[in-house]
Amino acid sequence: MSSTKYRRLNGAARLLRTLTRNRMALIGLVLLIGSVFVAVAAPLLTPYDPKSSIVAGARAAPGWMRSFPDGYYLSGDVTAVEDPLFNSPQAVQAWTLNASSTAVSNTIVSYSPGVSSSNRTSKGSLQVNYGGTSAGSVTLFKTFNYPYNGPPDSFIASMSVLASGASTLNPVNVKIFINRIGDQSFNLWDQNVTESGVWLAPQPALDSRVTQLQQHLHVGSTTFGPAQVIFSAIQEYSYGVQLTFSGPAKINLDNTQLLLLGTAFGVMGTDNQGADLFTQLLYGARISLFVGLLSAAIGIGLGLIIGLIAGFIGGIGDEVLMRFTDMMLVIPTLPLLLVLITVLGTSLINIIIIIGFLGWMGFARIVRSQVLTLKERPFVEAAKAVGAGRWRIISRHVFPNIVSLTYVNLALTVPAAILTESALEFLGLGDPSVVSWGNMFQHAEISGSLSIWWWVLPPGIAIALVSLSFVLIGYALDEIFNPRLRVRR
Amino acid sequence: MSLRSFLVKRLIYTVILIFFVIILNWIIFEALPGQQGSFEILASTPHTTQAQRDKLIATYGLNKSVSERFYDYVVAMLTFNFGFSYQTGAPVVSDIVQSGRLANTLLLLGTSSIISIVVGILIGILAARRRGSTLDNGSVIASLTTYSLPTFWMGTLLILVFTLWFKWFPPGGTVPLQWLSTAPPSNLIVQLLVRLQYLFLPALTLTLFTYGLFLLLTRATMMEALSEDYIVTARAKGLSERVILLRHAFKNASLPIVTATALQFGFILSGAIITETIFNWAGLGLWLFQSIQFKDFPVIQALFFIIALMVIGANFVSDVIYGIIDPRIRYE
Repeated sequence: MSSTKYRRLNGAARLLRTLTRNRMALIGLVLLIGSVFVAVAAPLLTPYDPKSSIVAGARAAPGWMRSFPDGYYLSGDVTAVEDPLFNSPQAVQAWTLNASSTAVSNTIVSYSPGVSSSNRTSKGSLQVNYGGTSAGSVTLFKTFNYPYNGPPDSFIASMSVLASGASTLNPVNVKIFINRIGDQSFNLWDQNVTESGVWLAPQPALDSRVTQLQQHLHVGSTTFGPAQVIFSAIQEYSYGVQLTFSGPAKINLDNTQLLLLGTAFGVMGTDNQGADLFTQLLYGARISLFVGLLSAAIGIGLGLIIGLIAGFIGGIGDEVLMRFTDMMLVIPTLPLLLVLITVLGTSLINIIIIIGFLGWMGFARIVRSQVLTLKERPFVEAAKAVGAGRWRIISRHVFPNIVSLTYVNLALTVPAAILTESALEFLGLGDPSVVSWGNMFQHAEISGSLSIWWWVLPPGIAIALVSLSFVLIGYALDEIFNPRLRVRR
Repeated sequence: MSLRSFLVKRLIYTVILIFFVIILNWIIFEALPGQQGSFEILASTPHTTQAQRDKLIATYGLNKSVSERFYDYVVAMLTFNFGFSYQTGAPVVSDIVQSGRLANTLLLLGTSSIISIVVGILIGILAARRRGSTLDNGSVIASLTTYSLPTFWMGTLLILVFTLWFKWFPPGGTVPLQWLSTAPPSNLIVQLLVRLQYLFLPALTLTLFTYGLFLLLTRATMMEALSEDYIVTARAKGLSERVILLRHAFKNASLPIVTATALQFGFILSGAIITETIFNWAGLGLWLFQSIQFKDFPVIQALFFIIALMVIGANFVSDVIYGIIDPRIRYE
């Protein structure tokens, strides 16, 4: 037992050594190891989720473009507030209080631990305790610098408000604003809070892309949105809230973020939703390798079984199996695939199984012809004469001689499966729930972004490199195992 | 075996194949889930009267039993009577032939197949002759690379470079849009040049997709032929390199090329479907794609049958060519 194990290991090591001597195979191996590494280590290489994290404005350019002359007006992301969820008491000190002297003497700003708009993500909030008996107005704001030449793509302002002691008779007016310091203040939200004990947040969200906010602000035009009008210069801004009390009340503020989504981000920019394209590219390696390897394994396994059976039973069974194989070979694969997937549904498992079940025919014929020649070899005759059973002959004498063929065909079937899967994605028949390279390309197409080269080029190059890695290995293996083609000298 | 009995045998096999395709097509659309939905959709379509629905159901033959439908179906397939498209309501066969879609697909397929076969075989022969040369290595690498490139991506790239950047070619379509509303120009040379302009990029894409296959295949079979003993004999006789290469080696290498070409026809057709979709080329592939999106089952069924027939036809033609060029079949 141990000796066969050793021999097998030795065989694999020898194969690897032969492969690394062949230049083509070496390139293929390096590419393959690289793509497997990317597929496995994707979560370590990128912090974002491939689809759900919005990292910048829609269709942002790659971040490195900012250092080129053309990228002068590109902007990066800006977060105005470091700790918007008030996880630590220090967060309160970042906010500046501004009020008339009478109001200031009646106001205490403090950290209130445990009071939070969302208990799961945030530990505390900021509390404004107004003790004055008459009306008074307090402003809390956070200043920040907008450092980019060009405006952001959009901004999202958030603010959750909890009032205690407020009522219809004692309302608190809450105004959320962005102030271009020394110039103009923009009022994002203005509401009287009359309810106590309920966290309130602007509905719909204060997103510069939402029409309600655009109408409320009265700025912007068809070409420029509020984000472009407000953040039009490099200067100091402040984000804050103005609380106008009519009597004593407490206001808690939480989730106080102003997020400016830039027009440039990361290595490859973003898609039409603002999700990181580089993250999608890394995660896409998983789907391609998974689909390619699994469906090729199904196809090669089926081909091996059918070829072995046909070669061994011979006679009428062989004839029937091979005629069936020939017929399946003539059926055009892609149309059949399209039809089957339309009828059966576009889940990833369906795609893998269908590609696998349509990819066995060529290999079955190769295995059968190999078995037919092996059957007549003296060593098989000898084994028969010694009294070896049919199963023993297959497993110990025939199968080891087909292994090299299996490697070659596996390596050549994987790229076909990868390319077919990506073509299905392109035709809109892929699994929409997965992040794959074909999917990335199709999104560029249906969102009318085909001219954005940093979106369109990488997925195609990635598909090509992964399939090329298998093609190179398979081609090199074929030359190694097929000494017929060696030059006669 | 004479050539005639060989061809008769292949013809019988071809007929069996056609029936195999018909039955496979039937199984996919009848036995697998998904198809029965169309009956329910028709039966419950809102804003129609019962009479209208009954008429629709009768038109599409959805109220008959399975065996009746199978019989009708086989007859319909053999007589090219594919029924009516859910999309347009027109007879499917007129949408295939009269609309010019079949011709468009054949034009695209034919052009690029001929170019890639000629180019692939020529470079393949040259590469096999100078094994290990720069030409050999370069052509192998180029073939493997273009094989690995996704077709849809390559096509899109060509559109980006040649139409958006250089503005040399139209971005897609088969003929200019105004030709559809008004008559095409009467000057035939102008008409031909414009058509060529529309054909160029799709044909280039499909050629890039397929030439590598022919190149690698020719190179491999030529190398095998060149290592045979009769080549040594020919060299010893002092024959010229050209005669050895073409008359001795290629003549023997051409047989597997012919067989493999026929088998690759299905693969080329797959490329054509994707190419037509990218370039909006009004052929069968684009229409199959559109019908799949619309779930237009009569059209999908008919197109699958027609495309399979094309492949089977190509295989039969290759059998005939094989019979003609392989003397063993003629003289034995």
